[in-house]
Amino acid sequence: MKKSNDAFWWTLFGGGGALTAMFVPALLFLFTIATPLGWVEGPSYANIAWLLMHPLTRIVAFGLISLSFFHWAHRFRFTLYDGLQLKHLFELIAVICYGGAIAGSLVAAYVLL
Amino acid sequence: MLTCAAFLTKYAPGPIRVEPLAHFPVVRDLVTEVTDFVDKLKHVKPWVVREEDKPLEEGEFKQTPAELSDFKSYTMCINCMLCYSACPVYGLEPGFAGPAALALAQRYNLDNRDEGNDERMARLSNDEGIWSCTMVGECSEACPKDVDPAGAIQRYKLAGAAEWWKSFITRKGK
Amino acid sequence: MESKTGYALHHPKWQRDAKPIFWWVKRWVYIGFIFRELTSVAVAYSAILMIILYRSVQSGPEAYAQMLECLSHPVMLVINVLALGAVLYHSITWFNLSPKAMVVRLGDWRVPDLMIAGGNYAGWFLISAVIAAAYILG
Repeated sequence: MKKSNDAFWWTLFGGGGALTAMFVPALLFLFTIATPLGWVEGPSYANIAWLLMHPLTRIVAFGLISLSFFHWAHRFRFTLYDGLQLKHLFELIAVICYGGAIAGSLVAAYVLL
Repeated sequence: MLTCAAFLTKYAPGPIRVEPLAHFPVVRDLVTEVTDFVDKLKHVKPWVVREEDKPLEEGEFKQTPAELSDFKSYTMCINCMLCYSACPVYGLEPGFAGPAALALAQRYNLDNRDEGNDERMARLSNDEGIWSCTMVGECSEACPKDVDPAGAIQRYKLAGAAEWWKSFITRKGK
Repeated sequence: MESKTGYALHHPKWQRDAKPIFWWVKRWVYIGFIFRELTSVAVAYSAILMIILYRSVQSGPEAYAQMLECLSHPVMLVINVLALGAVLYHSITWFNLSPKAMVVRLGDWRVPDLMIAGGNYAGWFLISAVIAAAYILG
């Protein structure tokens, strides 16, 4: 049985899962539901620009976004194996999932950093 | 659930469906072929592995109740294989080591008398061992003895990941 | 299966019924499991949304206002409500499973599962409160 590198992907999955579980619900709710529906008054453009452009925020946000992608990649890969029984395509699926996550992270790096 | 421990009155008025243990090949009627499980069990070395046996003169191994409690639930496994029939991953992939085998591996890994962690890790840290588990959790639900194999596997994954990173860093450091 | 006179080791072939593609529809628990795994798609979606948000903020106030406009569209609202539901399901199932992975011992005493999960939930509420406060107070 060959040594597997799954431990590496699983670590990213776990980190991504924990971070997204903590941060994403509040962010999603505030930005995409509460503000458009007028329940809360969002910050002014100047304030939000200042906050988001701050180097620290950008690094943290990049970490969150990148780990979210890797969390998705690992979980979705196994869902395809188990849910749709596509295990025979495992190389292709692995490349698509992790490749997608890497691509997403590169995009995030380009935009954010 | 275990048929020996299930009261029919609990499931009245029924109907009750009696099937052979799922995910195992059927020999005839309700008899299933469980050699696969037995082989997997042997594969994880479910005994105390030591570099050198402790000589009799040194007396017995000491183990505090706290040390025992760490792995006690995993000792309760009666090899009934209900977890294997509950685990969808095992059903989809017969190569998967399965909940009971992995829980029993943990039972020995966490035992302070045992020194076989590395050996078991080498055998189980791969696609057919701990990394196939997707934490469905049904194994622990199905277990009649509250062994909680799902928890055992989760802890094993953490240990496996820590081990991987350690070997990665030391390999890079060379 | 045909009858055999030998022991199990002489089985010509072990017949295992292949699982149907929709094996997971048979029980609610399995459906819940598949939904839990599919929440990862909502997580990836949120990440993409964040990148787009960053882009719009970088492009100036008009772009940002336009993005908020776009988010107010009913279709987007429906999608985001569904995404929020999925992400909440992810958070709840994640924290409920946290005691299985995090076994913490203080000396001889093992921290009970409820406290581990409770600790995670508390952390979640704290972080969400901080984010909300920062957002609402500008």
